[in-house]
Amino acid sequence: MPGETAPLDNVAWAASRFATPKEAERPAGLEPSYWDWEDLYSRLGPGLIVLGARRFGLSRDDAEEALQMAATAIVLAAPSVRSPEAYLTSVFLRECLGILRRRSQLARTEVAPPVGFDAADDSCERIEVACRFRQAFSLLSPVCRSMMRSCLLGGRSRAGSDSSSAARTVYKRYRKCLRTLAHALG
Amino acid sequence: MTPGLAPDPHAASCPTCRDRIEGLAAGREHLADLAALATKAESGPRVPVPAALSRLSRTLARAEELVRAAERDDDALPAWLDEASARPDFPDVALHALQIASRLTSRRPSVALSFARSIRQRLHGDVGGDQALLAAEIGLLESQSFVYVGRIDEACERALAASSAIEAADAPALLRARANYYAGSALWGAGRSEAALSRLLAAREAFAADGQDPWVGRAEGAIGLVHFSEARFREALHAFDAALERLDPDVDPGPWEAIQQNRAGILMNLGRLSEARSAFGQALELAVRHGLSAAATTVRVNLLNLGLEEGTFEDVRVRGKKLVAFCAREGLSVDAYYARLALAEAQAALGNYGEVRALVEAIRGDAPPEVRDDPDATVLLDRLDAGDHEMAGRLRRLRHYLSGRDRFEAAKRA
Repeated sequence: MPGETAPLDNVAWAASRFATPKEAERPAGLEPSYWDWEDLYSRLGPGLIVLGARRFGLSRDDAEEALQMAATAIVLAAPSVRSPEAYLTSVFLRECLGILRRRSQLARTEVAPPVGFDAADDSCERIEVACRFRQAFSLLSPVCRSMMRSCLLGGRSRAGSDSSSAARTVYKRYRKCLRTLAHALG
Repeated sequence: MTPGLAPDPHAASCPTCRDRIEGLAAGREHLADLAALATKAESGPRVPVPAALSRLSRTLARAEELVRAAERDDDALPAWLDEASARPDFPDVALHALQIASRLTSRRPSVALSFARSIRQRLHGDVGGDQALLAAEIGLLESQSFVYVGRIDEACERALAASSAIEAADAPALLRARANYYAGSALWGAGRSEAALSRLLAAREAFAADGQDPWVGRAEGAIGLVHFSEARFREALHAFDAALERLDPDVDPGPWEAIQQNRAGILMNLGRLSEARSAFGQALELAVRHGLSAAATTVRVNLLNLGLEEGTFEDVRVRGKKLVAFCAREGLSVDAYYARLALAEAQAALGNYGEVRALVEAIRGDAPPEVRDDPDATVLLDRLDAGDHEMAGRLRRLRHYLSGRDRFEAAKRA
């Protein structure tokens, strides 16, 4: 197409070109609605701290530190956040991972532990898997996510033996979702 | 696990796995986790809320006030900014205002640009620490505004510098992803498709890692456009579909309509005419419902082209005449040009050669820059100087060239 340049947000194909809407149009949307972050933090915070401790083996102090670092990220990025609950949880998990990694790095540089000392657990690995799974499922569209759920939990007739085109379409999409997940999970 | 043998015996019998799959599938895994803990009454004692978070709603409200004042060209804005910049929380308010002000860029890029500059003028002292992030956000807003006013090289320069500065400031991943998204947008505008794609893919991954579905949708839409402009139509179609599934048309009517229209254009060129009609119809319905009048006109022009593909020449003639008159009246010169082109082809197919000659004269005289400056398009325009019976074919050839059909055909052959 002849090279008119235009921003991606509102670019529409128009017979021969990418065109920008005129100024009278509404903005691109995604205007932030303002959530009550204080309430969200108070509501989800205690659960997140327990999650960090139980599932990933952090001490309460470390989990609280991760939560506070998540709060710092919120303070900087709040107007750009669109799904606040998912944001708080994602940043919290990443901060937990950062704390665990720093800790294991520190442990590697210290003297060898005495015999009988508890070996380092697999917390880092488990939290990485959790973060990767969350990201991988976020890369699936909502329709794909819902289809994966029904395929894995609800059951479907074997695609090969079911001749209906709907079943074939579902199977094709299911395979595509698996590829997306496999790619995202590395 | 395979769908043929599902439900998976373990998933079916293990409540934990079942809950986690349900949570992941619903995009609410984070909440499912917490809900499970809450049912075990293990949610733990209350946590103190950091002071900065307690102040957040007030900071956001003040930032929003500043952006609204800029939006309505309030004469008091400079005084408000002076007063705000004298307060200790100015860096926080300004950082939020700059993010909020990105909504101004598509509608009023010059206002967004001047807002960014007003904040830059009021920065005090050195630009280390949080000030570095603030300076980078100013650059990012300027970059978005430059894209909309066509200063694309400056847009790239600012966006890339802002992205590096945001990275260096160790900003939250969401702000880094946002900077990548806008840098990708600017790079695409400059025709640097590979660099744009790499930025946009990185942005999409990072948005997904933060669970920000609407942002993933916007990144998918942008990725689709890069593929579209590089004639990778199947990939473009997949990306547009993925974007539309994530965006709420009532929350993001502009991007949703634009993506739907781009998708319809690909379907039309692929010959999937009924799907294209349905997609154009949805774009038009949304544009009308949200008062996106210019977008609605562009869809109507594209519907004329679809009518030509379907061979409904009389219908195109009737609608085309009305549309040309409307565009001329409203000063929509580019849409008027493409509407005339479609009308001329319909008239030629119907044998109304007198009308065709008058329209061709206008088509050759009023060509917009993207047609006038394209040597191949100019050759096709010159070939319109032909006998009556050749006109329909030559007009169709020109329309197919301008609509990118040639690239579709070339891609299919490849």
